[in-house]
Amino acid sequence: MPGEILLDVSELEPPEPLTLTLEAAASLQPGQYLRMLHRREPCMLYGNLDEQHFKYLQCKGTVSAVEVFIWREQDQKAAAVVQSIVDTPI
Amino acid sequence: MHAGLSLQQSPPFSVPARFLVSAPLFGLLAALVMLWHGPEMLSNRWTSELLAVTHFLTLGFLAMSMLGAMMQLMPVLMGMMIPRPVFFSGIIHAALFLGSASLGMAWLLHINALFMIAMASLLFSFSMFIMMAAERLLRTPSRHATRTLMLLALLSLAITAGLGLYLAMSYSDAAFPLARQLTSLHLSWGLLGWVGLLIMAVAYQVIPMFQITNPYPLMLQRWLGWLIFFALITLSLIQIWPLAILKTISHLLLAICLLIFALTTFWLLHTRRRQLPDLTLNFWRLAMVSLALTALIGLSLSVSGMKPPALLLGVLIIHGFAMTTVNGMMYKIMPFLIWLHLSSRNKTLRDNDQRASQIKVPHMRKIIPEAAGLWQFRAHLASLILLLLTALWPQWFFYPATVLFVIAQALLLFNLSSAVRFYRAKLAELASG
Repeated sequence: MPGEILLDVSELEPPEPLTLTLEAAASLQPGQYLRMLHRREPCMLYGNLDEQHFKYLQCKGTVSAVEVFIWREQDQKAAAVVQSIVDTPI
Repeated sequence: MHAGLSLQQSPPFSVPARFLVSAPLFGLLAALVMLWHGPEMLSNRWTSELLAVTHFLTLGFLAMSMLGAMMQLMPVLMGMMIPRPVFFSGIIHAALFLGSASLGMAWLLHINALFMIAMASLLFSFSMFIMMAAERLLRTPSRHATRTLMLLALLSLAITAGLGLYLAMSYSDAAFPLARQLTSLHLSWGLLGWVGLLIMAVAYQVIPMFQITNPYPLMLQRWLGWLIFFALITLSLIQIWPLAILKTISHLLLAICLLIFALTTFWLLHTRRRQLPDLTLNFWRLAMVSLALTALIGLSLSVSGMKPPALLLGVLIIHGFAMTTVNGMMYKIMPFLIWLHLSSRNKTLRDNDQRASQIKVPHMRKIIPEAAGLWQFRAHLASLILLLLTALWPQWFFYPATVLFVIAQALLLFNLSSAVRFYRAKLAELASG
């Protein structure tokens, strides 16, 4: 998927999942979204994303236990793509 | 690209740090008291010196570090905000410090007034902490097993403290009857309820998080803590209805639950996804071996009806299980705190367009050098083995065990203090621009 940046942090020790996700989110270009794969619900991530004006959606993963989609607040195109992925039945 | 990290609900560094650094001071104090008094203090379980050492360890080391760890973990793991954290942690810490020191000194110096000071300080410290933490836990939207277990642990702490106050009354006032039959109950609620349940609550989150393991089975997370709590309630009711069969069942239930927890943790650690060496992993393994041994001895005693070897079990559960777990956790919590607070300072500088003033934040594993932690672990392990031998042959092993215990606690104090000094140096670097 062209707009997707995939980040697998499911085998990393804290604080790497948090820092790598925030770094990857900060580098998102218009139309891009981050698909973060994790083994558990992330710690301290969502508050930081709120502060930095990102939107996110957490759902049950297919590859890992948890998947989190992250995109920029103003990015309607990325938001629509994420919504279509989440709405598509597996 | 920098990670823009903010502290979120995490309290200021001084909030947990003051508790964590104070803990090995009491460990060291306990070890020095042992060295001073010699093996005669182990002649029976009621000597003043042994009572002083036990409370320096359970209050000064364990309760001190566990309260500090909770102050940090509750916001980070469950998104709770602690109200006025610096003020509350300051008074809770000061009262716990004073209470733990004066209780031990009251036994060592035989000064009754010190018991009164200890009782008042500990009552104040624990009631403040329990009310503040319970209120926050009840309000949090999190429904993780950790929340339930933390609440049960707090309730156990309240019962332990209540029983402890009642027992201490007999030392401070000669007219008050000594209720020694309540001592075992005080110990059970303290070590299995307060300490055991809290360690379980934290392990359910931090073992999968830091050791990259599968999560604990859901059924176990949901029920094991409740079963332990139920067994402790039953043990308490035996004081009113002394039924031998009920006592045996409660002891069996406790031993089986502890064994299940120890073996499950061991299995999770064994099958962890990243097989990298890790200092805290050594501490967890040692703690689980100690817990499993405690449970196996408990099981065999319940079945055989033999008298428990009090000193051996005490060393296994206090030093082997509880202190080992807390000691290992300190090597994760302290570097994480320092890393988090320094990263957050950098973010503030970036937000204020002062990028040039940012400092280099080291990797978490570099904040307390792995080698320093490993040497402390070796001293801790050696002191545990020798203390277990001391429980069987005190005249032979007491002094080597105590010397190693002094070394282990001194090294822990040094490692934690060095980390704090490192943090302060980085802050000074920031201030100087």
